Amino acid sequence: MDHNLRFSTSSNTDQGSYKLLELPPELYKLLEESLSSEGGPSASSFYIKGQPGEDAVLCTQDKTYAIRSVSLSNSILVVTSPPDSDVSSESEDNSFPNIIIRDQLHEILELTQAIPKLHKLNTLLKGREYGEDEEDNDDGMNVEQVHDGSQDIRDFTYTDAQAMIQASEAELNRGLRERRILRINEILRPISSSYLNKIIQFILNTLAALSLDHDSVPVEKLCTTLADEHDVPRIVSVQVMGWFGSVSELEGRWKMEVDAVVREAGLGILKDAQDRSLDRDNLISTWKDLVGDKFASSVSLDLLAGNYLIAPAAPYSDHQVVKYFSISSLPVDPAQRFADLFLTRSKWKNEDIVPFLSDIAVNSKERDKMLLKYARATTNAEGVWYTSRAQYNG
Amino acid sequence: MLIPVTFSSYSSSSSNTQKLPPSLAKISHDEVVLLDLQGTLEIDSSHPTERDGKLIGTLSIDNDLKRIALRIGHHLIEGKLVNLPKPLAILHRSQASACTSESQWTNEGNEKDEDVLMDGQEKTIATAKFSGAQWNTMAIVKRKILFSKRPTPIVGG
Repeated sequence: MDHNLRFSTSSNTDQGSYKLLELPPELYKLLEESLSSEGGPSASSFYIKGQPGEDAVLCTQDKTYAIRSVSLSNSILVVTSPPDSDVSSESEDNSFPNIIIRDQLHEILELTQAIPKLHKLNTLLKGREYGEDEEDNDDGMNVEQVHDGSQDIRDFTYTDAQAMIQASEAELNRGLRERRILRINEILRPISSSYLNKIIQFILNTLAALSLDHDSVPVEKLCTTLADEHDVPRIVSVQVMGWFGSVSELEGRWKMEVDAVVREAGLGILKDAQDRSLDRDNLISTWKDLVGDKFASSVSLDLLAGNYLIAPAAPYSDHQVVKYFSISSLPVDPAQRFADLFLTRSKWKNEDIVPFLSDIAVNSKERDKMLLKYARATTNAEGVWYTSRAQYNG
Repeated sequence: MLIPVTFSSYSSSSSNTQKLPPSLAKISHDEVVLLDLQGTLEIDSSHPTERDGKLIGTLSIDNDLKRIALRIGHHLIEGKLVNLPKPLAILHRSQASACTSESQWTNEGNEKDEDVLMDGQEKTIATAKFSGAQWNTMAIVKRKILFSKRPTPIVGG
């Protein structure tokens, strides 16, 4: 069967209005499913995000993809039937059906899964910590007025974050949770670390005092106690509960995640010590005292992975000292990250360095690729060690 | 900046396109087909709109999709069907405000188009950071027609 191939009657305006997007298998599956089930637009809409100067990313509900444009030496023609309205292209010389070229393309867009660029939150939210001193002002409703008076900088809202942070909805929410960022009347405020530690203490004390089961804590009761006795606003305590466990709204119960609470308590001790090194055994015992007998068994240095460095107190000493060293303070660019790590220590054991790479690699395969590129591995009786690989490109 | 990419439904995103003739519709998608040419179509024209609606050539294809050829003037290029290494989504740009004018062309698609428009407006209000541009997925295709050989001249034709 023959077809007349023509230019579109609006070829000039059509040009550039088409793009080809290569779909990774998991994305294709997702789309097929949502198309076949006539899924709602929310289930099947993606966003391209980026500010001028940033590389654009494509965000699905729960993943972020880097978009790369690949040039083709061939040209790909997008061909369709003519639109209904188009009468001018009625064939005059034969009875073949018309088909028209809508656009000629010389590139396709490739997608590769990428790390969400959540680190921007740290910079954007600097100096907006929510601390203990806010308590008097925050009766819930008048928060906005208070801020307008005292702060010149515009409040940073969740909507702002959605627009500015190159991350999917799920990743953004997880990022806010991991960074302990409060959402108060849609305004994002990172909780100050000292205040968070106090709240954790209050919660642990309250649980013990009222002898509540940490697997099923009545939310209402805990909130009221925290508000009455320690002036912690409800809006704060409910979100803190969400960070350290799961709140079932239906039953009004909170299931505390023991490890998360214990971890935060340990992190608090490390942060308080700042640049001082703590004796390992001292740290563990202080930590156990802090969380109380009930949870002491959960205390383990492993919980703090990515937040500390451990070293012998002195050469040949049996004592080990632990120092606060946070992954969040390290640069996100892989080359700079490795440079920083090797400045901190010239030699890293495999298991010591891995926690400090977790946020810049999508998976372990990519992490190993980075190690191969930026570090030199040597193996001895103790295991694999990494040292710096000379970089000549600065 | 946020640019929405919607995958709602084929028919609503390309309301003014008809289905392709049957043999082409079989290739991958019933509204759109991709032709891969080694080279570019070059047109001498004094004004870019001059080529609008002009005939380029004849694409012939048999029912088994085995023999595919494109004749342009006195040249014939043979083509073949190839599977794409990864499926391609064909995105079409539309301005959020252009949805209404487009939807007037068809009667049957109207209801759906309104839904899309409403949806678009809601999102615009919700974030107020959209650039106005929106990309719709017309189709997801898995095969294309590749013209990889050199054109042969037609003698006498």
